[in-house]
Amino acid sequence: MSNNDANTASLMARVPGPVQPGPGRFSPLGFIAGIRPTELLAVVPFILFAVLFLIAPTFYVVVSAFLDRAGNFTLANIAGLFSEQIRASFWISIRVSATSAILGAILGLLIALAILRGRLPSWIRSTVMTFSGVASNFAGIPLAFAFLATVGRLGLITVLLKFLGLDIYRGGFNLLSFWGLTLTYLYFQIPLMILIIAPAIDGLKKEWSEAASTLGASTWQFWRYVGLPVLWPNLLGTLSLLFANAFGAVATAYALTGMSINMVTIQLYAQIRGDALGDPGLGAALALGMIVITAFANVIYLVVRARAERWLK
Amino acid sequence: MTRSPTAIMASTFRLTLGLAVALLVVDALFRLLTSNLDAIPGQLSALLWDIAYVGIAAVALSILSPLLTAAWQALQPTAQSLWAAPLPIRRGFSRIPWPWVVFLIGAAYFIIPLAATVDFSLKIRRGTYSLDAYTSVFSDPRFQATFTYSLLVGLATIVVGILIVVPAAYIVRLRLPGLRPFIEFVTLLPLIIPAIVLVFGYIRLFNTSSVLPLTGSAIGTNLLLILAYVALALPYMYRAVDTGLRTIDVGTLTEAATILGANQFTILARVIFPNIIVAVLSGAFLSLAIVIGEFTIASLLNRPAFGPYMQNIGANRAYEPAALSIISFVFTWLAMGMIQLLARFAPKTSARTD
Amino acid sequence: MADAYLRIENLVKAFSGNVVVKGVDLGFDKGEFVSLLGPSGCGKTTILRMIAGFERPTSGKITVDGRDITHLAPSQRNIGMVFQAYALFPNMNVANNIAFGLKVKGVPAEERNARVTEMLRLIGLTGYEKRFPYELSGGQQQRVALARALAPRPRLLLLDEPLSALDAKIRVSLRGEIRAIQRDLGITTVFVTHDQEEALSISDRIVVMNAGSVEQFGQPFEIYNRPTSKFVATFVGTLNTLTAKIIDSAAGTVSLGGQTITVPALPKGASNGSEVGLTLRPETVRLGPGSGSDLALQGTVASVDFLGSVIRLKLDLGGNSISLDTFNDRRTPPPALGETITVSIAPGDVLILGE
Repeated sequence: MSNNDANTASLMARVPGPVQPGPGRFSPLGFIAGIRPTELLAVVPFILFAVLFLIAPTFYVVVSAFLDRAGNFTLANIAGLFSEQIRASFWISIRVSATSAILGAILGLLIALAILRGRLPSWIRSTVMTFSGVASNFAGIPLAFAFLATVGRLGLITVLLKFLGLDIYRGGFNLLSFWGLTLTYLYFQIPLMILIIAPAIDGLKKEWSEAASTLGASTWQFWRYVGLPVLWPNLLGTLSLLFANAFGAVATAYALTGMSINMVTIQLYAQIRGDALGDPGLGAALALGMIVITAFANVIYLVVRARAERWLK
Repeated sequence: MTRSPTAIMASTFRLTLGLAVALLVVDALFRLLTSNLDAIPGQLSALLWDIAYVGIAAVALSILSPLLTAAWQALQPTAQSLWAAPLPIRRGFSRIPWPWVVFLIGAAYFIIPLAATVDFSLKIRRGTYSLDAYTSVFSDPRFQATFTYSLLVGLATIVVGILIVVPAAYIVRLRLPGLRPFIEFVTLLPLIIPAIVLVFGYIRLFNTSSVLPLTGSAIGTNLLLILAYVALALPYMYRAVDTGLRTIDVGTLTEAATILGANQFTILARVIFPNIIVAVLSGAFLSLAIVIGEFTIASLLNRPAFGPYMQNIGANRAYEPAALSIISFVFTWLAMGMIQLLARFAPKTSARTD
Repeated sequence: MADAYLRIENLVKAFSGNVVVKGVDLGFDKGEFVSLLGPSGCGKTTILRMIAGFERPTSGKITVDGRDITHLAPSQRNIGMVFQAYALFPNMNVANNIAFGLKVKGVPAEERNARVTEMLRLIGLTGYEKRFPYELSGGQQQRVALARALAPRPRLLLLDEPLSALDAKIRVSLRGEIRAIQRDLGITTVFVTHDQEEALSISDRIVVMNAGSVEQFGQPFEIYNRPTSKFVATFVGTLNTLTAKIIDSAAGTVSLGGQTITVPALPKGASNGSEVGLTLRPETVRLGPGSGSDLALQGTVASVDFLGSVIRLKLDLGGNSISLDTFNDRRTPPPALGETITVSIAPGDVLILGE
C-alpha cells in the first residue's frame, strides 16, 4: 500500500470506530490535578470550541424541541413531527440514505475487492484510490450539475438513449425522484466505501485464504466463512457512516430537485430560511429527529460491532 | 461417498432455507425502501405471499433433492473423485474475469457523468463545441468575488483549525491521555450530527439578542462561517494530525528538546510542527476541498460564498453550471493531488515507535 | 526413488524471467519427514508453494502416490499446510478452526466434533475448544494450526518455517512435539527451514538448497559429516579452513605447519607445491597432543566462549586460525586467553571440498 493511500484512508478508516480509552492515568478528573498552565493553554481552545460550536448548539436544539415560543415545556413540537408531510419527508430521507448506503457499501466493496484482490494491474489500484479521494469529496452542488448534464431531461445519456429509441423518462425514470437521488448519491457513497474498506481488505492476510484453500475450501467458502466475517464490523461501521453521510446531505438534493422532493434536510433548510412556516419549535423538532436517527444508526453499529468483535484484540 | 436420501433432503433443506431467508431479507428491504409510507401495508401483505412462495419452493426442492442428486451424479460419473482429471481450465461462470468486469462497470459509472458534463459544458453554442461557458464563468465578477471569498474562508478555516487541533492533539498524546476519549468523541460529532442541525443551532444561539451576537455583523457572521467550517473539517483535521503525531516519537522528541532548554511553545512550534507538517497539510487540503464549494452553511448564514453562487447559477443558467461543475471537480482533484504529492515528501527518517 | 510417494520431476519456476527453481528432481518416501534447508531466496519456499498449489510451475511435474497434481487447484490436493505466521482464522474459536477443513467438505457435525476432540488430545490442548486465537500464545496457536492442517487427514503435510516466529525455548519443545505427532500418524511431511540445527534434529532426510538447485539430499548424519560441497559444509555447522601445501598429490600428502600428513582425497589435477584448503569440524579438533598418525599443532588461545556444556576456543596457529569445541569439565578450567596449547587432528576427519 502506498504511503499516500495510507494517509487518506487511515484517517478515514479510523473515523467510525468506538472511542478507546487511552492508556495511562485515566481517572475521572484525576488528570486535572497535575496539569501545568501551558498544557491547559493548549487544550482550552479545543475544549472551548467543542463546547461552543458542537455541544452547545446540539444541546440547544434538543432542548428547544421541547419548548414553546414562551419558553415553557411542550410536546407540541414533537407531535408536529407526526404530520403526514413530515413523516413522509423523514421516510424519503431514510429511504434514499439507506438505499444509497447499502448499494454504495455493496458496490464499493465489490470494486475494492476487484482492485485489491483481483490481480488487476497496480496502476488501476492507485488510480482508483486517488479518484475515490476526489469523488468522495465531489458532493453537493457540482455533483447535482453533473448528473443533470448526464441523465437530466436534456442530459447526454438521456438524449443519446432517446436517439437510440429508448426514452428513459417515458419509461418511468426521473432524476428528481427516489431512484434519481440514489443514483446521484452513489457517486460519493461508493468512493467513500472504497476509501474506508480498502485498509480493512488489505488487513486480510494472504495466509488465511491460502490456509482455507489447502483445507479444501472454495473461494466462495473462504469469503463466506472467513473473509466477510472478518470484514463484518468494518462493513457495518462504514454502512452507518454512509447512512449518516447521505442523511445529512442538503446541497445535492437541493440543487437537484429544489423543493420538489420533500427530503427532511430540505424541510429543515426551508424552516431556517423562513421559506415555509417559520416555526422554530418545529425546526428544532426536525433537527432532533435527525439527530436521533443518525445517532440510532451509530448505536446499532456500536452494539453489533461489540458483539462481532469478541475475537478482535 | 453416497449419502442417504434423508441426509440429502436435510442438507438441501438447510441450504435452501438459508438462501430463502437471505432472499426474503433482500426482498423485504427492497419493498420497504422503494415504497412511500402509505404503500407499506400493501407491501407487507405482498411480502407474506413471498414468504409462502419461497417456503413452498424450499420444501419442494428438498423433497426432490435425492432424485436431482442421483440425476446429477449419473450425468457426471467422474465428478466424485478428487483425484480425477486435472482441472487447469476454468469453465463457464468462473471463466469470466470478474475483477475486470466490476472495474469496468464501476469506471463507466464514474466516468460517464464527467464526460457528459464536459460535453454539455462545451455545447453552449448551437452545433459547435466552444469554451464560451467557461469564458462566461471566469469573466463573471461574481464568480471571481465568491471564489476568492470561499478561498479566503477556506484558508482561515485551515489556520484556525491548525491552531485549535495541533496543540490539543500534541498535549493529549504527550501528557493528558485521560482526555483522549472526550477528544475522540468530539471529533466524531460532526460526522453524526448533520451540518444543517449545527447551523440551525448556531443561528439561534448566536443571534442578535444573545450573549455572543455573531450574526449581528458581517465580520461576526464571517467568523461564524469559519468556525462552522472548522467544525465540519474537524474529524479529518484531527485524524490527519493524530496520524502524523503517531509516526513520530512525540515523547522522546519533547524530552530531547527540553534537555536542550526549549520551552513548551518552542518545542511545539519548532520541533513537533515541522515533523508533522506533511500530515497537517494533508488535512488542510482535504478541509479546503470540503469547504470551497460548501452550500448549506454559507447559504443559511447569507454569505457571498462560492457554493450559493453555484446554486444561483444552476437555477438561472443552462450551460454554465456544467462548466462550474468541471471547475469544481478540477479544483477538488488539485487539492487531493496536493495530498498525494505531499505524501512523497513525508519525513521518512523520523523515529517511529510503532 | 522409483516408487517415491511424493515425486518432484525437473521442476522449474521463473518469476518474470528470474529463475528461482532450476530443474529440481526429488523423491520422498511415504511417512518420511524431509526438510528443505537453505538460505533465504534459495527456492525452498517456492518449491513448497508449488507442492501446495499456490504457485504454478513454469515446467516440471509433481506427483503424489503416482498421481499428477501439478495442475490441481490447492483446494483439490488434500494437503495440509502450516504457515509461519500461524494464519488461524481470527473469527473462529479453536474448535471451529480445527473443524474448518471438515466443514467445507460437508462432514456431519457429530463426526467433526469427534475429530476436533481427537485432534485437541493429540496436540495437548483439550479444554481449549472455545478459546479464540488471540487468547492463545504463539506456541499454542501453532499447535492449533497443526491440528487444523491434520484434521481432514491430508496425504501430505507441508510446514513453512512454522517455528521461526516462536521463542527459542518453545521452538525446541514444539519441534519435538511436531516430530512425535508426525511419527505417530506416519504422515509424509515436508518442512521448510533456514535453521540448520532445526533441520538436523528433526528430519529423516534433508534437502540442502542453494540458488534454486539441490546441493545435497541425504540423512542428517551424511549431510553433516560428508558434505559434498563447500556450500553444504559451511551452511550446515561450523567449519575450520586451514591452508596447506600439497607435497604429493598422488599419495595424498600435504604439509601443514611443518608436518606432513596424509589426507583422504585431494582434488584431481592438483599440482604438487600448490596450496589447498583443509576443512574440519570444530569438534574433531582435540585438546592435547593426540596419538599415532594424529597431527599435532601448537597455537595461542585467541578467544574462549563458554557456552555451557561446550566450550568453544579459537586458536591462532600462526597464519591459520582454528576453532575447536571441547566439553565442559568441571574439574579442569578452560585454557586461558593467550596461553599456548597443543591440539591434535585425526587425518581421517579432514575434509577436502571442491567449491
